[in-house]
Amino acid sequence: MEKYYHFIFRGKLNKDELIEVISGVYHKEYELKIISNGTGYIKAGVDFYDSLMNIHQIMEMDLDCPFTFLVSFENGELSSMALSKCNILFPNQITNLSMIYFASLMHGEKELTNKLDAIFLDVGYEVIQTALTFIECGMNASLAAKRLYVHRNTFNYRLNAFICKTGIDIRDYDNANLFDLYIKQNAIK
Amino acid sequence: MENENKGYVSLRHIDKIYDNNVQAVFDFNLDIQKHEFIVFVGPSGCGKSTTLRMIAGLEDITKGELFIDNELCNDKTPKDRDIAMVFQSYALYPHMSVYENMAFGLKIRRMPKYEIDRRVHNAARILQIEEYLDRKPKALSGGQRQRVALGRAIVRNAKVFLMDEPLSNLDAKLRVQMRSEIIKLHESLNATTIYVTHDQTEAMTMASRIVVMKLGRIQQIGTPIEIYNNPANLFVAGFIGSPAMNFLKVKFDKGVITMADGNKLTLNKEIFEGKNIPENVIFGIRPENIVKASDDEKGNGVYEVKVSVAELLGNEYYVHFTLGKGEVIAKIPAETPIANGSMIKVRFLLDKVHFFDPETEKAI
Repeated sequence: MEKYYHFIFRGKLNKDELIEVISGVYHKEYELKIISNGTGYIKAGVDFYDSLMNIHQIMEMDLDCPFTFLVSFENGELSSMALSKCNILFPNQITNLSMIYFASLMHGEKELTNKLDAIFLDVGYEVIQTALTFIECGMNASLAAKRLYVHRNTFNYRLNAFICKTGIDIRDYDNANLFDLYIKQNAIK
Repeated sequence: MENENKGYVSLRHIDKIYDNNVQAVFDFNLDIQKHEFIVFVGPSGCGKSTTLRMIAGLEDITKGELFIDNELCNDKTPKDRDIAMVFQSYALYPHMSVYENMAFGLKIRRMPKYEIDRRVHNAARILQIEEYLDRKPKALSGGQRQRVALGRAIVRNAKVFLMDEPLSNLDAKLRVQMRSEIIKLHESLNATTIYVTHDQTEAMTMASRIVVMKLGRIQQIGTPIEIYNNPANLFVAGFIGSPAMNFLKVKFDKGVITMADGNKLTLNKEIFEGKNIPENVIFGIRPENIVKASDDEKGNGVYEVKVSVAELLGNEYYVHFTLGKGEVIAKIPAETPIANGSMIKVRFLLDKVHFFDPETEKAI
């Protein structure tokens, strides 16, 4: 499973130096993109998160450049919006998308919910119900299949359909948390 | 004119306000002299790390001026400030050897190889880690990793060392050992060090001067002994010292204080003369200034108390009891056993008492 590690940086950032820093901590494949307005992303495995947590501070010192990171499942407007919020609410930290979404709900903001609404718009009831049950069963697929009275293969098929349609792989805790928060705020609404 | 006689590192009216309008630091003023070991101490969220990061250039300064070696540094990049920083996590690059970890910051700065080599070996010699230079971090103990983290800072030959709770991740025994090593290091490098901690013991044992902070504001600046003996307010008095100073709400009248349970204490003249002590006042006394009295001792400042808990620490007891309707702790040498529930006599050392205004919380 891959994630996008979006970042905002202050100051001058040399891409080659950043690559050197990453190679000091991560030996698997990744994609790095620096965008001219002081932002960029690293697309890497979920295990990159630990590496990043470990070196975030020394990386800032070595590159003379403070970084704010947002870890997200996607690379679109939702993350772009969340990254801006991240830079205000949790500057110079590494924060997950679900945390930013939670903070935005606490502040009564609707922009991120609207973006999520668009993602779930065309997802059928059966598929949503499958994902919901998976979360309710503590991300235990066997238990969720039993609860839904469907064969495990059917359950897997529907869960994959959810992941393909939304891009949110809820087998990852943070993604599951994001979906759970979205569903709960909808229920309250 | 304001720039005259300022310290080697000088913070003038520094404010930090984040984009979400949260103000983390309020009007921070401090002059740090060359070769000083300054410790910022305070509870979580008091702004000590934010202040350190502003000095490092990793946080913008919202208002005020920062001078390092007489140069205004507000708009200087971290690289141009000539500082080195050590972090709490003693983070290292796992895929690099100790040598590469120490050399990395210099390599990025395009320093010649021979100079990098000289600096790394020199730092390794100071820190006694020469034999580990080829090892990867995972092959090192926590203490060795922290030394490498210090080495990464030393090789920079920086004007100022910034240390952000560098010992917090170490176990208690190693922390005590590293504490003295950092002091020795500071002296041998003749460095100017700013050290952040929430541990008042670290602050007391390491600092040439302590800056006590709370909620983004400086509470007091002074040498450890000044802060210990003459705390500026209730917060400082309670924060510095372990166990914390005992506080009792009392009534003061003509040199005599009356506790809530009716017990009285006649003060020495020099304690209250010339001071405007209000009728309702907070009385403070440190646990070490309450001593065990002999069974036949009577008179001013001697009280018979029932021990609720006697914590034995080896060489001394922390004796908990109730007096003046408040919980009081006394530090008493463990010469004779003290049992929970027993009656003992204690005596207050009358020249070691403190008074605080209940409204302003300032020391009187």
